[in-house]
Amino acid sequence: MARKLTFLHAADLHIGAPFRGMRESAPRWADQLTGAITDAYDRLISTAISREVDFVVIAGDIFDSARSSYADYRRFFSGLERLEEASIPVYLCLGNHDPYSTWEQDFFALPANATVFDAVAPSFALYERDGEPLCVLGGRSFLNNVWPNDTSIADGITRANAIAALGEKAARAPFAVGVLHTGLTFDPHKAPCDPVVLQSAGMSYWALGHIHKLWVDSEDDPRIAYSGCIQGRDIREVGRRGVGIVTLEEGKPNRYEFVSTASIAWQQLMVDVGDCANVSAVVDKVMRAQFDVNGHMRCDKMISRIALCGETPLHELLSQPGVVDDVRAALIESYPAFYVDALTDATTRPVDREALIEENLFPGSFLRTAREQRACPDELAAYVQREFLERNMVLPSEALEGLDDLAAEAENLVLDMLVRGEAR
Amino acid sequence: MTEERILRPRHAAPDFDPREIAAESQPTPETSEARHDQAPASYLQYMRVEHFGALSCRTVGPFAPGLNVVFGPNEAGKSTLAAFTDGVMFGWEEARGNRNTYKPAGANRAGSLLFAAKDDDSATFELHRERNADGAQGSTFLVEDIDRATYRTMFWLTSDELRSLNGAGDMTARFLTAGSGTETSPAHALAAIRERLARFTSRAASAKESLVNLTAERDQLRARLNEAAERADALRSQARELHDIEPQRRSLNAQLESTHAAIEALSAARAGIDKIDAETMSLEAEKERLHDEERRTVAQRRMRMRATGTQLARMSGSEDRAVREKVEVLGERKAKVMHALETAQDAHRNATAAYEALVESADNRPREARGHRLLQIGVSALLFALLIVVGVPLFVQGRNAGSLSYASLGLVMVFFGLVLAAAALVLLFKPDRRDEERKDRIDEAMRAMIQSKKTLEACEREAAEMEEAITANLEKMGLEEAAGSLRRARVLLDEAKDARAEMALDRQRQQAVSMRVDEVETRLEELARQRIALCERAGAPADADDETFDQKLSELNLSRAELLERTEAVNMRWGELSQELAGGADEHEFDRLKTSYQTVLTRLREATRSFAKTLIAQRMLEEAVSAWEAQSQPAVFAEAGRLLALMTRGRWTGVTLSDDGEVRVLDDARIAREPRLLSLGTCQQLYLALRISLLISAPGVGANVPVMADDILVNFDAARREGAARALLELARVRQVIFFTCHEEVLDVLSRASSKTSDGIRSIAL
Repeated sequence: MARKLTFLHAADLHIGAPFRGMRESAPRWADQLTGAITDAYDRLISTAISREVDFVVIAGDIFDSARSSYADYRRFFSGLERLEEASIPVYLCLGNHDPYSTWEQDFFALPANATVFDAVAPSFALYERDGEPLCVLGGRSFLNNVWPNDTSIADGITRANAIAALGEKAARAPFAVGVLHTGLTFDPHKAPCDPVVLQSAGMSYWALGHIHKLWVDSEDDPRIAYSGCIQGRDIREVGRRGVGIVTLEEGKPNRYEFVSTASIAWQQLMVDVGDCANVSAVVDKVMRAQFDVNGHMRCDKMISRIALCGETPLHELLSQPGVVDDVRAALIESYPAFYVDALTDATTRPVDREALIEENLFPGSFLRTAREQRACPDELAAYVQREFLERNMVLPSEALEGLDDLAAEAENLVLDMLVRGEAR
Repeated sequence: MTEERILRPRHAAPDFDPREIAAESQPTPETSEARHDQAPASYLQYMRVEHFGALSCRTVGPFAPGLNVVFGPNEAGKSTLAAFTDGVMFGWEEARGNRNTYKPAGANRAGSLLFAAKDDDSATFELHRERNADGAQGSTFLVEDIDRATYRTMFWLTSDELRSLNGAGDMTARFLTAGSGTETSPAHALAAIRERLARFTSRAASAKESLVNLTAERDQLRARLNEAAERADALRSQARELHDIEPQRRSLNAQLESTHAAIEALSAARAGIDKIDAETMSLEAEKERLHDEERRTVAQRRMRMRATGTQLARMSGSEDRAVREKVEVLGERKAKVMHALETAQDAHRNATAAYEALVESADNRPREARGHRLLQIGVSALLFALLIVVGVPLFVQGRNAGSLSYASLGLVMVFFGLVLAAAALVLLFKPDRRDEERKDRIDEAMRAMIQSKKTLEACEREAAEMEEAITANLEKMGLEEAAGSLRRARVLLDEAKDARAEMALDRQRQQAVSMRVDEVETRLEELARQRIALCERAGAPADADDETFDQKLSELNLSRAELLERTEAVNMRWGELSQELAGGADEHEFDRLKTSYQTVLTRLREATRSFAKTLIAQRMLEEAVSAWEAQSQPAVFAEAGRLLALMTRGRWTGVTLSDDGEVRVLDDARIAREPRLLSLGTCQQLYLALRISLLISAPGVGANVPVMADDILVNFDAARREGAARALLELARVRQVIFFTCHEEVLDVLSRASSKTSDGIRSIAL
């Protein structure tokens, strides 16, 4: 009879990580936000128990480098204890955010069902079901935050080495799973390795972590996979997040089933309100856009940053102080499961810039100057840098990302001022 | 017009106004604009001084929309009025250095400026000020298009001010971009942008996007985060500590428990042993007493046994009954024998009597003889019987007792008895012939008598044998003491029975005692075993006494106290840690702080980016303004040159800007000079010309505000005064000019100049 193995593949828990990119924490959401990652982790544990998986693999970055609170720390170990009660072993690989060196103090808290892959050399474990060897596992943790460039983290993690280390019994195990926290080809700075090397290691499946997003080398028969993070924690980590239920079966292709664990989904939306006749239409359109995008996720709660764009006569109204804030408040009010962290007005007034440039009036003169300046981004950047220095301020590099967008915004800002009474 | 279509903001009329949601209602641009639209071009009509400097309750005016000359001697209050106007519009001068703040003693500065519409004198507006903190009251829109710096530089002309044009770049920009085809002047926009930039670096609490504030907030949060992180670390190490002391705590608790148990066991053992010892002691005493009783009982029984005789004493009930039966049988047989004997004696007596009677009747001769013989025979027979009766038992007794004398005595007596019997027989058988018949009868009677005698003898023998048999049987039955007496034997038997009953009681008692003794001994053995077991259990030697126990107990108590102390310390720490950790497991302050920190970082990042954006906007606008200036300048500078030429009667013909933005003046040979090289008067004329040119070119800046000139012509020669007067009249066509002077000739020059043109001039004397 064909033997079969099911396990849960998770990675990048980042317990203790704060949400990045929020502009303000609404009181109603504050608790949900602080508990989002640990709630997602609890969901991971519950999934493992309810699906009765053979074991759980966590491929690194369990804790975030931002030290976790004791409450979160406890939650993690309680989760492992729940698995222990359910007799589900856990295999942990430590990543660049929580390398082996940071764990020294905490190993004592690990229950007996947890196995941590060594950092100094590859280490191996054998999973047996009812005394029958079913799967060999091999992996290696990060020792420090940085993996040395001159060695590959995957070195020596092969099925043959696993059998050599675990004994003859291991040779009877039909499956082999490699666990690594690696940049693979996605991140050349974090222990990258060659997929070909992984493919030739004799493993049935490589459970990887690091890139925070779900990725499989092949939809039909995944052999190398990233489960992604369990909860998006950055405004850029939009979309669905969760874990994988991996099924390995003799004579059949591997199967990877995505299970959503996220407590809160992140989304960034650009909503063209050019066709909206009034502000309530804007609210309606944004609401529709939120529902549209949420329909594709498996998470009810959503925090989004929304930019209103498009050319609209409403620009005038929207750019008045307080109006966008009111729209945002109306959006937050109308559907409690969605929170709009920021609503920015990127609409433009319907201005025929080319016609303006042609006119011999100040706005035309201004637009010409602005274009000239935008044509020399280096000078612009140098100018901003100089101005910051003059004020004894540090200019963070990301402040000038998308300099031309910034310049375009600046241009719009001035144009708005010139053609409107805001300066008063 | 295209720009009209494009640039005029079109206010959409939304059917949804989110501001209705917002609690605070701000004045909408619509109303502000409406008011602005309503405001007609105005001029200053009256100055109404309530308290200011030396002036009090003074109204000056009315002024005309054009050129006004206020004439008054020194200290009439000309400069005071100029300062008053400035103060009402832009705020009273704050005390700083040794500036004159015009603050009257004992009163607050207060006053109003009254404006009237240029085209309708009946429409008046009042600008009033009392306290700076309250700001200007009333028609503040009158001064909305101008700020204090612009006013002081451009509108408040004094001899000193005219030596230069401070902030020339800004001012020219402000003026040159006015009316550039935008809704808001670029200069205003630039000012707004600079204001925005200033907000980014402001420390005011209201400046939400202030990088300074955000950085401070970030740093503060970072510090709190560090504290929270340290707290989290502390909790983790406490968790570690808890984990580490747990086994110690458990072992200490276990030790303590076992010590408790040992102490309890020892105390219990001690109490148990005390009890056992007490019981043992009382049992030993009882045993002693029982032994005594047993001994007593045994002695008593033995005594009774001895008294009763062994055989009788040991006789069982059935034996007793058999013996009694035998005794009865013997009694019956003896009674029969005795009866037979009595019968035989009676028969013999009768036979003897009959014989004797025959003899007496036959031989009545001596009756006495016959009686005598009969008496002899009777005595012989009696003696014989007596001798036999005494002699035989005596003989038997003697033989049995082995006493020869008794036996021989018995034998002699029997012999004498027999002799007597033979003598009697001889007497009897002495025949009496005469009495043959009688003798026969006598013989007959004698034979009967002999026969009865024989019978009697046999009976007697039988009786004797009987006696012997009884005696023998009784002896055999252990009733020797009865000495052949059946009655005594019965008595003996009864006595023996009683004795046996007594003995049985004794035996029972003895048995009871011995049973009790056994019990006591068993109990004692058990107690001894219990004691050993107790000692063993308490870990004491089997023969441990109270002292050993006490010593051991005190040792244990001591070690328990020590353990208790250690356990308490560990338990207390354990409790502290558990409580701390339980509390820590619900603490989310660190997480909240992290989120807050990130939000501040985000806001800081956004503010930084926004700041960069605003800087870029500033640069764009500045450059655009310069470009626009460059475009507009020729006209302004040409105008300034014309005015300068007018004032200097052609000595100086032009004004330009050098490449580096400095003002240059051209002489009649078109040679450029730096202003600092000019004479004081010429320099003042240059800057006056430049100001007038700018003020004329930008009627939109400070449209309602009068130009105040404080005796600016004193350094001018007569010819140049005239030229300057003409220039001022040109300005007065566009703007209201109020000229203060204490020189009558200046008033004359201005009046003359006005009379040459059609311009009116209003003169007001102070």
